[in-house]
Amino acid sequence: MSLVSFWFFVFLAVSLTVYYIIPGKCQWVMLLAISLSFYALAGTPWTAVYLFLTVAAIWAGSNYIDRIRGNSGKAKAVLIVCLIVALAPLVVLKYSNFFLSSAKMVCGIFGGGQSIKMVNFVASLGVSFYTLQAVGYLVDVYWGTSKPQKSIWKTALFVCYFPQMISGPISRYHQLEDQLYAPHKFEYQRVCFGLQRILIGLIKKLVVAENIAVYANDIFDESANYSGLFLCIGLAVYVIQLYMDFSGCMDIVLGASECFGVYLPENFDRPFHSRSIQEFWKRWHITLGQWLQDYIMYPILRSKLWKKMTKSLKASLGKKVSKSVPTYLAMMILWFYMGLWHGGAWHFVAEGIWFGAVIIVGQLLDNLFKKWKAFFHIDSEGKWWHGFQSARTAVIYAVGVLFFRASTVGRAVHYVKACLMPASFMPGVFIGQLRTFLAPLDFYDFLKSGISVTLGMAVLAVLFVFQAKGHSVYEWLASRNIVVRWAILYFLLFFVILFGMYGPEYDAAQFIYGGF
Amino acid sequence: MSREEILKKVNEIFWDVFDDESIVVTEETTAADIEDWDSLTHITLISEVEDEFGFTFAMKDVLGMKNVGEMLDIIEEQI
Repeated sequence: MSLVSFWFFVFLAVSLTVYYIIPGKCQWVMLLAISLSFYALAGTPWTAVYLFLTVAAIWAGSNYIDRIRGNSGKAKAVLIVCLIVALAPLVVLKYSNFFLSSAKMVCGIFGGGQSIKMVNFVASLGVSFYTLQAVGYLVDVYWGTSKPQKSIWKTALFVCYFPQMISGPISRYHQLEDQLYAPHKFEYQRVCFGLQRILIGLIKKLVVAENIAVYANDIFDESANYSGLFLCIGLAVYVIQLYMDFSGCMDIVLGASECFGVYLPENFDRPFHSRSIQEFWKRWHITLGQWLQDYIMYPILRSKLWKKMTKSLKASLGKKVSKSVPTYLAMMILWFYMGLWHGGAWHFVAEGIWFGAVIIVGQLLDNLFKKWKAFFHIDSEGKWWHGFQSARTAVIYAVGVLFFRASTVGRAVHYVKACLMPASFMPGVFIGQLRTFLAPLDFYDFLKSGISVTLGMAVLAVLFVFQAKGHSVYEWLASRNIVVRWAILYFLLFFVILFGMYGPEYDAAQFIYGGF
Repeated sequence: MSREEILKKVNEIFWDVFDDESIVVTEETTAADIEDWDSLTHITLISEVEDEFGFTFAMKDVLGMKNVGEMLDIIEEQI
């Protein structure tokens, strides 16, 4: 059951009705029942066994660790065992073929590996998201930043809460514990705000992302026919599609959750306003970046091995090297995993390594950049400089996304090479490629898509202006008189109905981040 | 060691970590007051404080401390 399907909205309406009819004390039980029903309807129900394995491991582990807190060695051993059990479904189901194909590749160099066969496992829905959330909770209890949840059913609700389960955001236990289990009275305005946010998500997904996807797919599928400027535009179009798809998905998820009285953490904060790629990753998929920092980066940097490395580098190569080298190594591990998290394939890993390398090179050249800025009298806080930095960040991000979108590293590299062919930037070549692209298209469909995307982006631009000024568009709407308010809402609703791509003849693609 | 002496030593660690001897930290200083104090330099800072005072911060404290004053509270408690 897709989050943009008719049946999802029927499911949401029925769930909300039951949720607000029953006594407040029973609401969390109902929420768990709703979440498990959603899982059964949306995925392969039998894969729930993996989900229960993860829930049982973190529930038992967190409570036992709390009981033996005084014995740090034993607590650490329990943590490691429970982490292995909780992570096993993710590692085995999602990465078996990655390890096997990598082993086959290495053996192939020495003339062997023919006997290595790929496996065909079915991963449980949202395994990459809920596993990270579950692991974060267990580690929090070990660190003492969260208290363990005594009830296994409440622990299960934290892991399986249906709006966020299949595509995030990756929440922390302390963010949800007071909300998930508490009774919620029906509040008209809160439900309205939630539904309005879903509407915005539908504009992003069905009107903009889906209309763009058709053409972005055409360009990527037939990329051998194009080069230069045309491929650069194709990449820019895909970046817009990805942003609209993922942030639209988050609007639907956060809006649906808000209807139940549960506010999930934000996953986006105007990422294309970022001045560096480091800042970009603090504004794009925020909860994943925060998770990787807290549960991968920090433990590595605070490990005995890293501290020993820092001390030995300080003694042999000086303070500066001892501060930077261990940090850069830890960063590369983080970015390696960031890439691998997206999927078990080397092109995903290449994406992560690209971002890590750009950040490290940027830091190494920081002093040189400062000198250049001083030499050219560049005002660091000026609007033009900010605009240039944001554009540069977007280009760096787009190159990384290319590795994400391409099916192999070789194809991504080929795409970059084709983008950089100087002769292909000549107007004549570009027009020729544009004709090749337009030739098989239906003019009416192309025109409709163009109008849909333009109008959709115009509507969303208004929303971005509100966000940039720190205002809530939903509160602004609520303060209008009833005629204006409903006129705007009906306009947006009919806008989705008229310009969105959906319906029985059209199978709306899954969310790009829904498959992880 | 008095709280003032601890603050003085912590200030010297800040100079060393941020390569800037103009930094003057107070009990109220937070990450927002020092330009380069991000998540990575925070860990370097913590490690340097640990080496100087001879103890290890709990992860709960590493993630939870809000300002230099809270860091001083933990140091006072540990030494």
